[in-house]
This record gives sequence, C-alpha cells and structure tokens, in this order.
Amino acid sequence: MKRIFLIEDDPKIANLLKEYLEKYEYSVTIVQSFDRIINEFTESDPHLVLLDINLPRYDGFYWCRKIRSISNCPIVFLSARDSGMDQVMAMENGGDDYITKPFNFDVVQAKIKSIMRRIYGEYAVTKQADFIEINQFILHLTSMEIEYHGTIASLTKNEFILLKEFVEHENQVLSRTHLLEILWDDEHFVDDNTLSVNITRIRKKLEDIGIKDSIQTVRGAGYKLVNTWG
Amino acid sequence: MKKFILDQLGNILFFYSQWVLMIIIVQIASRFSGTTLSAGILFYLFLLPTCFYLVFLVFKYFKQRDFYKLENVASPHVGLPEPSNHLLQILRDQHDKQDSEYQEKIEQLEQHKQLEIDFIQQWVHQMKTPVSVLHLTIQKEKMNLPESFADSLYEEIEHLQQGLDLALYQSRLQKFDRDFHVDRISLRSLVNESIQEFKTSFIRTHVFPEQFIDESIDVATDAKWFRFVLHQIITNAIKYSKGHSEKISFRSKTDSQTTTLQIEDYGHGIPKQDISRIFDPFFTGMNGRKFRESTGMGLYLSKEICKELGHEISVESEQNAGTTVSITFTQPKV
Repeated sequence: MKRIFLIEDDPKIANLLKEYLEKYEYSVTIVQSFDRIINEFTESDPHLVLLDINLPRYDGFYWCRKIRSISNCPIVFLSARDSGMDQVMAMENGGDDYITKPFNFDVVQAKIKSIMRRIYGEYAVTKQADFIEINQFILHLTSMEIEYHGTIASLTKNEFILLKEFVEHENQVLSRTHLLEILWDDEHFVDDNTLSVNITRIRKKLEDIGIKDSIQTVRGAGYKLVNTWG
Repeated sequence: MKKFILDQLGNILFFYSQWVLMIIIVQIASRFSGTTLSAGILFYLFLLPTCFYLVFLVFKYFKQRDFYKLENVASPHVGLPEPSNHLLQILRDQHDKQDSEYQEKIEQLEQHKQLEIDFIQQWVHQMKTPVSVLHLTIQKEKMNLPESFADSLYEEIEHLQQGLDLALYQSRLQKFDRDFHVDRISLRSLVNESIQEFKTSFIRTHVFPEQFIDESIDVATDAKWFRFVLHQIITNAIKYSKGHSEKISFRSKTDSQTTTLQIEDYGHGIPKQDISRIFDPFFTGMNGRKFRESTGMGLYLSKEICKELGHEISVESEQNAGTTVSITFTQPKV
C-alpha cells in the first residue's frame, strides 16, 4: 500500500482528501503539527507528498526545499494560488506537479496515480482483476467485451464506459447527467442524443448475448441495471 | 529666443521712448542756444546705446536661456533649471514644494491601492478554501444526494467560484506589474480545457458544445488570462442558451495574418441598443435584468485583458437568434 503524506492546514479539506484517497487504497497521513513537519515526514516515510502553499509559519515552498534536502520523494503542490509565478516557484523549489483549488477528486487521484506509476513502476498500481462478473455475465475490462454463457460481443469505448458504470452500480439509478459526465473526455463532448443512442446499442448487444430488459429506464430519473438473468 | 524678445518688447520700447524723449529735449534746448546737433551726432546717440543695450540683452538672455528652453523639452519630469534671479528662485521653490507634496500624495495612494489589491487577493484565496470544501463534500456525497439538490448546489458553487475569479482578475489587472507570459499554445486544447471545466454546467443546462478547431492552430497568448476570457464568454453563452437552444459552436478561422476564434450560441441574443455598450464596466443592460447574477464586469475585464494580450474581441448578435463572439489573434503567425 502506498503511503501519502498530506500537508494541508484546512482540516476539512485534509479529511475529505484522506477519506477519498483511502478508498483507492492509499494510506494517508495528515500532518499534525506544523512545527514538526520534517519529523512527521520522516516518521511516515511516504511515497508521495501533497503540499499546500499557504501554511501557518512557513509556506509550502519552504517546506518543499526542506523535504528536498533530505528526500527525493515526489511532491505535488495543492493550492488555491493560480498565478503562473506560483507554479513556476513550486517547480523551482522541487515540486513535481501542481493542482489548483478547487479541484476534482478525479484529477487529484489521476495525477497521483500517474506519478506513482512513473516513479515506482507499473507494478505499484494495485493489481485489479481484468473482468467483472455478475451471475455469469462477464465484462472484460481490457478487451472491452461482454460475455454470457460463452457468447461474446464487443463494445465501443462509450458503450464500455457506460456499461462499466452500470455494472459497478447494480440496481442503482444512474441519472442522465451523471452518465453524460462520465462520457465526456478531453476531446469528445457528447449530447443527450448520443447517450440515448448508446444506451439503445448496449441494450441491443446485451440482448444479442441473451440478456433481456436488464437496463431499465426510470422515468424522470435515469437508468438502472437490474439483474434479470441470474 | 522669440519668447524672450517678446518678453523684452516692453523694456525695449520703454528704453527707446526715453531715449527719443531725451534727444528731443536736448534738441529743443540746443535750438535756444542757436546750435543744433548734427545728423552724425544724432546717429551716434542712437547707435552707441543700442550697442550697449544689445550686449545687455544678450547677456540677460543667456542667463535665462535654460528657462526659455524648457518649452521644447518633451518630458514632463525635468526639474527646473538654476534660477538667475529672485523671481525665478521663488517660482522654483514654490514648484519644488508642490512637487514633493504631490509625490508624497501619489505614494500614499499607491500604497493604499497596493494594500487593497493585496487584501482582495488574499481574501479571494481565503474564500477559495470554503468553496473547495463545499465542492469536495458534494463530490463525495453526490451519489447519495437527490439529483436536483446536488445540481442546484453545484450551480451555486460555480457562481461563487466565478465571482471570486472575477474579483481576483480585476485586482490583478489593476496591479502595475501584471504577469503576462505569452506562449504559443494550441488553440484547440485551450478551448477543450475550458469546455471540460464547464462540463457540469453544459450537461445540467442541456446545452452541448461542438468544436471545429483545427488541431494544428497555435496562437500566441497567455493561457491563464485567456482562459479567464473564455470562461466569461462560455458562461454568457450557456446562460443565454439555456432553454432556447442546445448548441454552442467553437470555430476557428485563419487567413495569412490572423487567427480568429468564434464562439457562437443560438440563444437569447443581445438587444440591439445594448450591443455597443456590453464592454463598458458595470453595464448589465436588458439581459442583466432578465438573467440574474450579472455584474457587468466580465466582458469589460475580458476586453481589457484582450487589449493587453494584443487580441481583438468583438460581438455580433441578433435577438432571439444568437450571439457570436470573435477573438482575433493579431500577432503574425510564426
């Protein structure tokens, strides 16, 4: 399990981040006393440091230099300051990355993951199974295929993203808004229509492999995956 | 020189009038004694004093020349030259006194202004922390909250964030050492990034962006400031599209010299009489009354920022048909 050391003076943000990151199997230590940052750092011996800039007593740049003088541990700045100068300063003082507040959990997690992978190698990422199974219905995560009783169908990227979300939240209503949000990536923006088309196609493909009516429309709320095959 | 002669004109006239008067009196007096002054003597009586007078005037001119030359100095910050008489001395002392008083006042004002700017920036950053906490809390609880509730909270948080950004950029723009770092950046990735940031607003309002920007287009701009401008335009586009239309288009046009980014919505539009004033500070117009949370500062700041960055921003709109904002990057392409 990778250890993260969190230097953030706002207890609420610190706890929310800790809670969130712990879900992704990181062990998170929040700094306790701003006079003993270096001691606490060495005690927890982290794989990565999340560091705020505006801190009591000394600022984040100072602590970054201090940590750099004793360790090569990756440091990610996390700050409300968004001027180019601050980001340059952060890098100059030994930071590896910079995230501005307010941030998305996903962004933080993605950045941490990518840095961990770069520094500690691919093996560091917790090994996940490459398929999800519910009552013999199998979603293959790497090949983006679905399988039921030996019949296989392949999915497009959007279909895969949607179906994965459904499988992970079985019997839970997923709103159209939420589904649209997970479909958007850096380059492609989809609209209501695309979502409907994709849902229709998923239903069709599920039907093709022998699973009927499992994605149900909930009027005025969204869709849910109901286990109709098991 | 001309000004000096003009100033001396009174003296010269007075000098010669006295001289003529003297000669006339001498002439009359000598006529009583039976003799008259010959033309030669009269000529000398004029010539000699004129010579001495000329020398005196030239001497005087050279002493005061520095003052007369001030007229041709372009810079307003040159101190007054060494005074040649008491009058000029008094004038200079008075000038220096006023000058130092003004300097002091300006310094005080600048200090106040700086304090205010520092305060606002610090305050904005302080306010960002609670906004972050709210944001994170909702992200965490999202699946457990009723959708409409989460949406409305998100919406309000976004308004808070935008308001804070507005304050921050306004105070930054006023600062004398604004940090502009102009780089060549891919226009498409800049636009995509901003669209991503508005993901939830787009989806929530059922307005969807379409983007037709060539991947190869780079523009010279400052990413941070330009992003602010884009945010203002996208916020407006979403606001005026809501319930009217479902598309906002991002296009680029290039010719040999310039690149233009066009952001077009097909929504509510801007009333004709308001268009010419939308870039004025605090101008909210008809739409400001119809749609709440208008400060009238977003577009004003955008215009100012574009001016600093060397871009040109313009707006075309037709009511109930839509609005197109164009930003032209005027720097020649590398």
